[in-house]
Order: sequence, then C-alpha cells, then structure tokens
Amino acid sequence: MPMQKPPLPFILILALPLLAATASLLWWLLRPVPPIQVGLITWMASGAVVGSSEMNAGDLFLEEYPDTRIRLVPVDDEWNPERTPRIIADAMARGVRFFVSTHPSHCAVASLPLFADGRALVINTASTSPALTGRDDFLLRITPDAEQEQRAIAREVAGWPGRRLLVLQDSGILAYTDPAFAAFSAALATLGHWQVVQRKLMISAFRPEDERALMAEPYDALYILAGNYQTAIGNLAQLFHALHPEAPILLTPWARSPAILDTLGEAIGHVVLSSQHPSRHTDPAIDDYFRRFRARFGYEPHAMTIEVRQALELLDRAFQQGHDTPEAVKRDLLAVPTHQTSLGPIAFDRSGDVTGDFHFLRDLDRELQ
Amino acid sequence: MAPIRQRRTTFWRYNLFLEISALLLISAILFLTIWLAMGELGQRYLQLRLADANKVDLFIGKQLDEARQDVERFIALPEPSRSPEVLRFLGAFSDLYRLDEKLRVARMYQATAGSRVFVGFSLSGGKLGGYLRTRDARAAFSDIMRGYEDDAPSVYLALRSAGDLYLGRLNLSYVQDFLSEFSRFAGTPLMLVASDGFVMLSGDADLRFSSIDLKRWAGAPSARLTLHARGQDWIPLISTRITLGARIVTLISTQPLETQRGILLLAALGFLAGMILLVYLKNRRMNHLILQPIAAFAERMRDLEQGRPLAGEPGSGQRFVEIDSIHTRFRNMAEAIAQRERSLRESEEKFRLAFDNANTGMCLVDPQGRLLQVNDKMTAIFGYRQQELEGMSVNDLAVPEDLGLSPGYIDQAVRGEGDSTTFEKRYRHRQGQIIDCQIASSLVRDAQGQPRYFISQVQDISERRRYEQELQQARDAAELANRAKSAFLANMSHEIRTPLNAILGFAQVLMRAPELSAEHRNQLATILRSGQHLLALLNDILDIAKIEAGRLTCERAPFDPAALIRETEAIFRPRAHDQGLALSVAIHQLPRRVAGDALKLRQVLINLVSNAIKFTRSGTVILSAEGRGGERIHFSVADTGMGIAPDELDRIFDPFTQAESGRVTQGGTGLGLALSRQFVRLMGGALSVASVPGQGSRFTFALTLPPVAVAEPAPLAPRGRILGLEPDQPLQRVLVADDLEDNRAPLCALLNALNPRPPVLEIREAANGREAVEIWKTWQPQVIFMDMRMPVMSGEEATRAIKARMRERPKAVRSIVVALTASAFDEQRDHFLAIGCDAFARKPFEADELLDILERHAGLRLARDTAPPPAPPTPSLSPAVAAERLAAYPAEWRAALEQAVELADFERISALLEAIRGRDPALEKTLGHWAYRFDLESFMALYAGHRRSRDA
Repeated sequence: MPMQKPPLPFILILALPLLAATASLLWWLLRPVPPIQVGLITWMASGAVVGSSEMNAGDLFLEEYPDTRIRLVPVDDEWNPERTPRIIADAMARGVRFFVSTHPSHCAVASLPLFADGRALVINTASTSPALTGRDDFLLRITPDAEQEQRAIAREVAGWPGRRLLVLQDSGILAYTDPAFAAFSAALATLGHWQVVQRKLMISAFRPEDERALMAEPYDALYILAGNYQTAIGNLAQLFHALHPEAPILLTPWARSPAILDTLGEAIGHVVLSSQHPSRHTDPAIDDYFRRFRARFGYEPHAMTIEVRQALELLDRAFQQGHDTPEAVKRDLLAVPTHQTSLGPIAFDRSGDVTGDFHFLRDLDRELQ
Repeated sequence: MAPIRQRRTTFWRYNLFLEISALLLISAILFLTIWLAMGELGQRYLQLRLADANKVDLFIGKQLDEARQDVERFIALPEPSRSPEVLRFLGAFSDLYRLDEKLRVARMYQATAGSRVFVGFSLSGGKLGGYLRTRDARAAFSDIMRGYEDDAPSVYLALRSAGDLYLGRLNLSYVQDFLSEFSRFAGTPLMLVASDGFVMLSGDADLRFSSIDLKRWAGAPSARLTLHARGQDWIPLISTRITLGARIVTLISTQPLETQRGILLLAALGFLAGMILLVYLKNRRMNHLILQPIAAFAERMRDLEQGRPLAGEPGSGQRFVEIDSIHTRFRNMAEAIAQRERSLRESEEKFRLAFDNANTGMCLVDPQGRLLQVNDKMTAIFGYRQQELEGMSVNDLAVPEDLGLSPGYIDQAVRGEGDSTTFEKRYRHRQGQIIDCQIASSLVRDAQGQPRYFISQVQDISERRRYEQELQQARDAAELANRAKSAFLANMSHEIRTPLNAILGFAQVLMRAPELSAEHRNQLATILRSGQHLLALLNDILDIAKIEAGRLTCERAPFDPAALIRETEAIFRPRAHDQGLALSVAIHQLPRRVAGDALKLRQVLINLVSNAIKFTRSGTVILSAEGRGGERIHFSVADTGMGIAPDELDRIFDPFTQAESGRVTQGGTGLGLALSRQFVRLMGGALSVASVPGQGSRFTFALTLPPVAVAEPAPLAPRGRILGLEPDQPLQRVLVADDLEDNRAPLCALLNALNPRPPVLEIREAANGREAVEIWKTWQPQVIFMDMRMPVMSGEEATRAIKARMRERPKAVRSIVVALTASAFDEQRDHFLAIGCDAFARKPFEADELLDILERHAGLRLARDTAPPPAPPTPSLSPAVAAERLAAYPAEWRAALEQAVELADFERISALLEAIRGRDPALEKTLGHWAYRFDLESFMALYAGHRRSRDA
C-alpha cells in the first residue's frame, strides 16, 4: 500500500510544539544569568574613610570580576544600631537576600533577628562581639571575635616590660569594648604582671585637657581599646606619647587606618598595631591590593576593605556554583574547610565563625608608604 | 524569460502599509529629533550649571584671601594681644599655631575650645605634614582635609613671621553655609570634594555621599551616567581643580530633564496618536467612499464577466468625480459589452448560417491540421458524414502526392509569415475518386496572437479544372497557329523583301548612273516608287500582323503635341484648299512637351485627317487637341462629309474593310482605320467614331501623355550632302555575305558605284556563314555585311564565331559586322546587336543608310558637300516652279522626298535636301527655307499636281 503524504497542517501541528520546546530549552540554556543583589551595610557619610572605602572596595571587586552575578546595593545604617534593623529589613523587602556588613558589633547584635531564619544571609566583616559567636544563624563572620582578639593582644602585652598599663576604653562602642576589655584583662591577669588602669571615655569626643591629668600619671604602656577607625585615636596616642615618650602604645585591629596613622605624629614610632592581617610589606597580596585600590581611587583604604573583598569573593564563588539562596550559600560556605581568597584563607567553623592569628605591626611608617 | 510573478495585495492593505511605514518613519524621526534635542539641551544645561562651580571657586578664593590677610594681621600683633577674642574678631581662623622646627605645636591660639590638638601635638604626619614640609616662601593654602582638631573640613595656611612658623587652620564651616545657601538658591546641590574623592562639604546635608568616584564621573556628563541618592538620580558635574585642591561637584537632578523628556515624549505620543487617529479616520472614510465603491464595481464586473445579469444599479451618488466617472464609464461599458455580445451572437449566428449553408465547403482546421468543424457542403464534396470528417486530419483526405502542398503554408502561418493563402490541392473522395479543390484558408489568432484555427473555404474545382485543361489545349493550339502565322509573316516578309531588295537596290544603283537618259531615269523612278509603294503596303500589312501577334511596341519620347497638330494641319492644308474645304485646328491647354510615341500619333492623325478630307466634298474639317487637366489629351477629327451608315460603324475599324462610300468613291486598302485604332489602343486610348450620314463624322480618342520638362533640343551639327567615299583612304576590305546572289549583287554594285578611284573598298562575297568565317580567317575584312538568314551556317552563328575568334586573337582585325535582315520584326534588331553585330540594316537597304554605317563604324570618310549651311532662304521659287525644277532630280530622291513630305518628317526632308546640295542652288534654297520653317503646306503644294495626275 503506498505511503500517503501527511497533510501540511498535521505536520505544522506536530512541528510547532517541538519548535517551541526547542526554543524554550535554548532560551533556558542561553539566557543571561540574573544578577544577585548584595547589600553592603556601611556608613555612607561617615565623614571619614569608613564607608567610602567599603563601597570603593565593592566597586573595585565588580570591576575586577566583570562576570560576577553580584550587584552591590548600598545599605546605609550609619552604624546606628537603632537604624540598622529597619534599614536591613527595607533592603530585604526590596529583594536583597545577601549582605556584607562593616558595621560595629552593636549594630550587628541589633540585626541578629533578621538573620536567624534564613531569609537573608550576611557576612560580617567587623563585628567581633562574642554575642555573635557560636550562633547557628545566617550571620557568618570572617573576623575572629573579640575574645580571640583580646587574648592575642593580652599575650602581646604580657611580653612587654613595665607595670602600669593604661587602658582607654571607648565608651561609644561598648558592645565591643566591654567584652573586649573583659577578655583582655582576664587574659592579661593570667599572663603577666601588669597593673591595668581602665579609663572609659568617648573617643570621638576626646579633649586633651580632660585626659591630660590622667595620662600624666606614670604608666608604662597605653592600650587604646577603640575601633571604628576614629582619627581621635591618633590624637590620644600623641597626647600619651607627649607625656610618656618611651612608652609603647597598643591599638586594636580597628585602628588600622591611614587616617589614624597620619595623626600619630611622632608617636608612630611607639605604636604597636594589632591586626588580623600581616603587614603589607610581608604579604604581597595585601600590598598589591592596597596599591590597586590607591591607583583606582586615589587614597589608601583602611584594613576592613580586606574583609569586604574577601566576603564578596566568598559570595561570588557560591553564586558561580549556582547557589542563590541564603541557605544554599551558607551550606556551601560552611562545607568548604578553608576558602582561598585573593587576600588570604578563610576557614569557617560550624557556626560560621572564624579563628585566626593576629599580627602586631610596629614599623607603621612603612605601612603608609 | 519567465514572467516575473508579482505579489498582489489589496489597495487597502498596501495603503495601510504605506501609512504605517510613514508613521513609523515619522515616529523614528520625531523620537530621534527629541532624543538629539534633549541631548543637546541637556548638554547645554549641564554646561551652564558648570558655571556655578566657578562662582563657588571665586567666593572661596576671595574668602581665603581675606583670611590670609587676617592671619597676617594677627601674627603681626604682639603676643599679649593675641587673645581668642582678637582671633575670632579677625576672621574665620579658628586655630593658629606657632610650630617648632619639628612641626610640633609650640604655641596655640584658639578662637574656640574643643580642639583635639594640644601644645606638643606633632603635625608632621599625613597630608598636613607633607604640606608643611614642601611649602615655599610664598604662603599658599593647603588642600582641603579633615582637621586634626575635630575632623571637620579644614584648610591650613602656613606663614613665617619673625623667624617663626605659624600655621593657621581655617574652619570651612562658613563655606559649608555658603554652599548650603548657594545650593538652595541654585536648586542644585554643590559639594566640595577632596582630590581623593572624599566629600568635604555638601550643600545638601540630606545627600549622604561620603565620596565621589572622580575617575568614574570625570568624563563628559550625561543623563545616562547618574548617581542615585535620596530616591532620585543625579548627574554629577565635576569641575576642574579649584583653589583648595578640591573639585566642586554639582549634582544635577535628572528630574527636570526627565520631566522635559516626558513632556516631549508625551507630546510626540500625542502627535502620533493623533496621526494614527487621523489615519484611521481617513482610511475609514476612504474605505467607505472609494474602496467599497471600487469593490462593488469589481463585484459587478465579475457578474459581467460571468455573464450574470447585473444587480440593481446603484444610483450615481458617488462623492468623488473620479468614482462617479468610473461608475458612469462602467455603466456605459456594460451596455457596450451587452451590445457587443448581442452583436457577437448575431454575428455568430450569421457565421453559423453562412458556414452551414455556404455553397462551398467550409471547415475549421486546427494548427495540427485536424478538422474541427465542417459544413454540409464539405460532406458532399468528400462523401464522408459530418461526424466522420470532424476529427480527421486534412492529410487523411489529401492525395498522398499532394501532401507537401499545404503544410508549408500552415508552418508559415503559425510562424506569423502570412495568415491567408489560397492554394489548389487534390483530395480523395470517400469513393476513391480524386477531387481537385481550391482552398482559401485564413488563420484565426487569439488575443495574444497565437494561432487558434484556420477557417478554410473548400471549392470543388474538378469541373473547372477540366474546362481549364480544355481551354489550355485550345490556347496552345491558337498560340501554335499564331506562331505559325508569325513564321509565315516572317517568311513572307523575307521572301517579298528579298526580291524588293534587288529591285530597289539595283534601281538605286542605276539611278546613280550618270549616263542614263531621262526616259530611263523616269522608268527607273517608276520602278523605285512602285517598289517603295509595295514596301509601304507590305509594312502596313506587317504592322497589322504584328499588332495581332502582339509584337508591335510603343515608343516613348518627348515631343511637342501642339507642333505635331500644326504639322498635320500643314500637311493637309493644300489638299483641303484644293478641294475647297476649310481645314482648321483647335488647340486648347496642351503641355509644351509630353512623353509618347509621336510617330504613331502622327500616323493616326494623318490617317484620320486624310480620310476626313477624302470623304468630305464641302464644308470643314476640324482637327482638335485639348488638354483637360492631368495627363489626358483628347484628340478629335470632325468633318462635314458624307458620314457613315450606322450599320457600317461597327465594321469600319476592321482590317481590309471599308464603308460603302469609301469603296464607291475613294478606293484604298482598308487598313488605315484598323491601324489607327490599333495604334491608339497601343498608346492606351480608344478610337471611337460618331457619324450621321449626310452630315459628317467625328473620330475621337484620348491618350495619356504625361508632361515632361521642357528641354531645348541640341542643335544638329550641320552635315553636308553625301557625294560618295573620299579617295585616298586606307583600303577597307568589305565582305558581303548573303546566300542569294540577287541580294549580294545590288549591294556590291552599290558599293562599287560609291568606290572612288583609286578604290578604298575591296569587296568580296560569301554565300553562307561558314564561307564568311573562312574568308574572315584569311582575309580579315574590316566590314562584313552579314545576312542573318543563310543556309549551312546562319549569319548569327557566323557572327558569333567571328567575334569569338576576334576575342581569341587580339591582334586580329576588329571587323565591323552589319546585320542585314529582311525580317519584319523590330525585336530582332536588339537580338542581333546582342550577339555581337555592330550595326543593323533592314532589307531593302537604303544607300545612304549603308554609307552612314560605313562612316560611323568603319571610319570611312564620306565625301560631303562641305559648304556651310545656308541662311534661312528667302523664297525665290513658287511651288509650281519648284515642282518643275524638282523633276530634274533623281526620281528615287524625289520619291523619298515625297514620302517624307507625306509623313511630315522634316528631319528626313532636311537630310534629303542635303543629298542634292549644289545641283540647283535656287531650288535647294527654296526647299531649305520651307524645311527651316516647317512649311509643310508649300511642300504639299509641290506635289499637288503630281497627286492630282496620279489620282486621275
């Protein structure tokens, strides 16, 4: 029996769905990957390098990773804990599910409920409060907490000669400095011979006349327990140096800022700067990063831009691997023992915290070059 | 080449396509214009706002200058006077330091409290340390930076005074106030940005920019490069570096531009919407007013095309003249088509009736030769039934031998080389017999010119073919008889002319003999005249015979018809006068010269006038010629004679027939009128007669004689009378070839008579052509008189042989062959000249004619009377005296003269007069005068007495 040619409409009816399915598949395979919004929580108009540096660090990342899915969204909480939860919630309402935060501990503590249930994930770069440590939530922290930090500092101080240690504790950021001082003093008490004189003051409102008398007392060293890259730390160090020209002055890692170093004056030679990262002169990657940053934006960034860069690289890696939900990203980040970033390794523990060594930088003039 | 298929669409769609295209184009142009205009306006607007930065720069510069003066004044004060109050009073410097050599604060003056700087504070670090270390003698402000005192935006000014280094810190709070006021006034926030991009001062505190990426925004401002802040986009305008080493960044809200763009886009969209609405309305109206009527026309045309009756004709309510015109034209066209269809049906009916009822076979044949349709007559012709014939090929009917006759036509017709033809062909009847048919066939083509079918008319011409065959046989028999008659006439002419040649030849020879007595000369003249009369009679009979045989031709040469009429009248005037008749001539509107056969016309007129005079006893004879426009000339000869009986009118033009009166009264041969009628017919006219017995007759005819340009005849060179051959010429060998001794003898006698002493002619004879050829081989004669009709070898063959040998032997004598013939037919002259003869002479020969040939062709010189031609002679002799003195001349000459006079041939008369020059000068003078004046009357009078005696 001869084969009968199928009618054209029949062929069309069969061909059209096939064609549509093929086109859909091709579109699905070749469609552009949608970007993922990442909120950068910072203080946009701090009046200092803080804020701008983090944003510029983000910009530099985007320029150096043109294929990244990350689209940075500035989230300005002014490092104000009363403002932080609302601002983050607004961003989440706009669809932002991933954040990189640079705010201090009290802001992070205030925002904890927002990252408890997996609606969003934040990689914290600057909040060391122990209140954030060991929590099984969606706040991952890539800097060691204050207790680790202060124990390391205490170990350093314990090795110094002298008896009386003046500790100036910034009362403007007690969420950090209180546990930090506690950890420090406890550690120091167990380690050495130091007599700690604690003085709480608002670093940003520092007046030389108010502190001169205290500082004029005999001390063998000064520990300025303050953060937020406040330039007044430099003024404070100079005042102490003017009164005790030979005494060492210890700064927290959150003073690793060119603006502070520029303010140290002649005291810079007696300042010991603790840091999570080695000196740029011993770590070419960090040096190169700072050079690229300066070449691009015209100024030296503070150290927190290192963590911002690392946080963005971690997120980008997870996104490139197809993870685009907070839970998946968290699972992916915690599954890897050690993440190799361009500025150093990061190893999360089960609760999304990190541990790490601390470096004590002394030749700070070179850090400014 | 395959025709190009063109996609068709409806006018509505095409128009819509064009309009949409136009709208899209307009939209594109509109939006492009808006886009370009917005870009240009935006750029100009942005450039304008850049000027704000200059104003701020001017303000700051002025403020800094004033501040510099203030600090200089303060430094100039003695130490005790440098109080905070004075510092506040002098200006905007909040802090002033005296620095030691290590750039530490040695002494400080503060306008306000709250500074974080103290005595001993080192300013050696950072930007300020760099400023202090690189500052030259000329005081200059530092770049803007955050002050060590309070992190507030500040500039520093270092001055040296009395060896001390002073550093003033200028708090830029008042610049902040200025920026805020300026920004509020200008409506655009201005920011003072340090060279590293940090925002130092902002005119709008709500704009939370900590830094500006100067590299990113340093390019040309554009509405596409914006910053987002406070819920809206801003275009950053970055100034050049100003006084404080800073840049002024002006933030231009995109809102006005967007509003402007929105308004323009809205306007453009509104315009487009309006255009679309307009197009929609226009198309709707066009559809209603144009397309729908056209569609309705198309529907009605389809009805018309399919032959359906047209639906109700809508009223002519069309809006547009053009549509209404189409409507009207369509209605007229429909009516015309209906009328044509009716006509076509009628025509088809007529055709069908004509086709079916035609008395001849009719058929339609396709280009392949198949019969499509036949009528009843076809079935009758071929014996087949109609159903059998239709579908048969014409080749099935054709006789196999004739198959090749018609296909050529079919192919030619199909190729377009002729659509109609008629041919005859043989077909076979169903019963087997052959039918001769005549086919008239026409090719019918379709509208594209392609062959559709042939319509053929078939006529059975078998009977006619049989009649034609019988007729052809009869015609062949008649032509055979005619040829026999012509041969008889030729033979008779030859047989009669041959003895006449001898008679007239010897008579001419003898007439030249000086020793003849007058009596013998008269007797010889009688012989000569009788011979010439016999020759004339023979010529008339031959003319009749030639006319009947169709071998008489008509010459065509220019002549003067009026002169011809007058000459004719002049010929007969004496005779009419002698008979007491009035001979008159009527000439009206004749051309000066016409083309025709003057000799035959003269012969006709002479014959008619001669008859009129002959048969008129009293009264008048009128010869008239009248041109009535065009080329026709009407001739008539009327007399008042005895007339012709009606029963004889039909016979008088028959040869050898005379009217009763003619037979009774005048005698004659009865050939004149017959010859005249034939001559007139030959010249394209018809001779007719009207006559009333007792009252007279009128002969009329009309000829077509086209006028020709008048040309003056070339004057004839005066030639003297031939006396004979000149002596002392090179000897010329002359061969006379003729089979008859009677022909050779007179010619030889004549040549010998002309031969001078010592002789210039050596004469030999040949009895036939072969003998002539043999003599030519050995003797090489210069002149050969060759009879064309000879036994053994004809003159024609001999001439060919001699001429062929002459071509083979270039050094042989170039013999002149003069053809001699007794033939009656003129066409032989051309034939003989064509085979190589050099001259032609008819027997009986004329002595002068032969001499003239010898002079012209053989180069023989003739002895002529070389006296100059006489002046027009004055008449000195009367015709009677001249006639008496003329008698002294040879009768032959006189007979020739009389014949020339009767023919009014003045050229011949002049030639004859030349021949007698010197014998009787008075007579020659008189006759020459008459000839000069064409005075035919005097010549006729010369012979009046002679004719009377002859007639008596």
